Amino acid sequence: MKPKQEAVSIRLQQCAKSFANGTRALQPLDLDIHPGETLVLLGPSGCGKTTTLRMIAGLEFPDEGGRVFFGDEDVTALPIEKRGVGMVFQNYALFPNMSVGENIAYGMKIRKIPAGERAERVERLLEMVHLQGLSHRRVDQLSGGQKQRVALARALAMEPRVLLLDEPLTALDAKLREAVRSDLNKLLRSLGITAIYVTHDQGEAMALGDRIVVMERGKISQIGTPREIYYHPANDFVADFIGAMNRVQGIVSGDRLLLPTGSLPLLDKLDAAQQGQQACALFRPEDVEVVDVTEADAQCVRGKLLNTFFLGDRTRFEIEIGTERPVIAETSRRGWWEAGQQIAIRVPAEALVKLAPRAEKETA
Amino acid sequence: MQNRFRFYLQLGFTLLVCAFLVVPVVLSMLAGVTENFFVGLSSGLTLRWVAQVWEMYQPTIWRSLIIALACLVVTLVAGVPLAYMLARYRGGHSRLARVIEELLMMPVAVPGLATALALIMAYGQLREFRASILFILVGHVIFTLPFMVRPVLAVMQSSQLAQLEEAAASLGAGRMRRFFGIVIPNAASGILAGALMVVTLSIGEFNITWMLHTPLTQTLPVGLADAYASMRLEVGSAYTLIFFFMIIPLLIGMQWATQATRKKVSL
Repeated sequence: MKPKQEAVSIRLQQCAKSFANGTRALQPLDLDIHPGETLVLLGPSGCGKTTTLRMIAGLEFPDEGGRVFFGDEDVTALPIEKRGVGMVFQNYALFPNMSVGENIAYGMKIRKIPAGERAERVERLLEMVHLQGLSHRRVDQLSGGQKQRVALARALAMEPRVLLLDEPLTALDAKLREAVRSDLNKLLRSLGITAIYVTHDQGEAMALGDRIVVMERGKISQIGTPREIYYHPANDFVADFIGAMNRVQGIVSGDRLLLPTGSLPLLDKLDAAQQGQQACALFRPEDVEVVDVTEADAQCVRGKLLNTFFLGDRTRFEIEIGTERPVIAETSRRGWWEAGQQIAIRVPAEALVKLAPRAEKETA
Repeated sequence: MQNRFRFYLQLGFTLLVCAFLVVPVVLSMLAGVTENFFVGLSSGLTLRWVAQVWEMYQPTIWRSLIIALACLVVTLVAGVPLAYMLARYRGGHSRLARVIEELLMMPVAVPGLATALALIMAYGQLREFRASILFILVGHVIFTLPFMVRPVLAVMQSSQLAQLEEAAASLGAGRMRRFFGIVIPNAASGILAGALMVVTLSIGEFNITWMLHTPLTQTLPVGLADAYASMRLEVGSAYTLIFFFMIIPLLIGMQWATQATRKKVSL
């Protein structure tokens, strides 16, 4: 099913939100969402992502001065029923007093689409979400995954301008989540509809988002593609929130960072002024190369293995190298390691993460 | 061995409690079909008293039923939308909602006598109204309204129902459509629970009604008091018997309806 209209862009302009008790849920926020893209709002609970989504939906209204545009149309004052959006909720929100088919047809009934066409479209939508023949089922006879598919079909039934998804996979168990996520991904690509997806799960955000908006305490921390956000986090918060990140402090000496038991390369040659100063290096666990002590060279940092966690597809290490926090390393190599043994690590220069320049955060 | 002892102890206690609840009721019902209660069962069983009550007090029975049904209609029409508004005002759980809920409970806490006196002072001059069963209906509505509003409000305040409404709105449904198509069907368990309370309370209501009634607007409980006060004990008991036969099927029926909707719409 192709959406009737061309995909629409969405613009939030100085949208702030304060609640009745005076707490500021959202600082004034500007956001441009491109037509047809899937934008993920990602952040810990209470960061304002859901409030932002509800403002786009028309379930919440921005404080005085904030404006919401769909394309060129100012929809700030329109309630949700007039905005032409489709919405999928975390707890499905299927109507328990209606069958699967009636749920999907609810919006069409309101728009007075003739019964014949309604039934036809319900069939097509059920097919799209792989639930053929379940039209007459009662909602409570469905599994969680099926319920969420029905909710999706219902949201798409009226060919909305915008699809809004509020943590749609959170209530599903891990295996099912992956399956529904993959289907959802295919569907969003094929529909080419502008979609906004709220989640606290970074894996979901990476897999589904064309772009990700990382939010923290009512503010946008960074906007970017999944790669940009993973490889070039804008600040400490994003660096820590997305994936795991090692952070070690040492002293700059030449083009190396000196640690108690070895040294790491530095990303850029630092100017003379910083020589002898404290500096931080950031790198991801999967970029740490674990080296046997006997093979360790001058490029390595020596340490003691505190813990190993066998995760099936990979092994995770906690390695004490005399810094404040132990270093986390991951390898997919097979081998036998034991807590307490001596070990060495090597981090290639290109694996070091550089925080994006401040300026980017300001314009974000 | 010890387990066994505990079992019998519990059984004995349970039976004792049951007897405590049931014996007076059974005695009263038996009295209604006994020829002479003071002589005892040996005087023989009869339906004479029941027939006499049916003849004398039949109008009070119909009147009570009519008032109970009218009371149900009024509390439904007034109480359900009221609960809805309280549940949705400022996203629910507002202070206003709590205050109104408490105010609604007032007539339950205040002695019925006082409520009735206040009604007589307010409307006593309106002769026609004062003499009609509408006057009693007003008293019953004031007394039973909170029992409709509370269970309905509890269901409507559930976040799940709020979300169902948001889902309906996202599909283009306006407020009226959401109220009748989504809110009411999915709040049915609360509405039925409220209805059950309202009907039983209205049928059994004595305090307010006793003050408000005129000889021409006697209800069943008032008639019962009248029968016990002015006639043989057997007649009053027969009256109680009729009351039981009336109220028990009603209670079972509504209980069953409540259960059926709970099963169908599990929120």
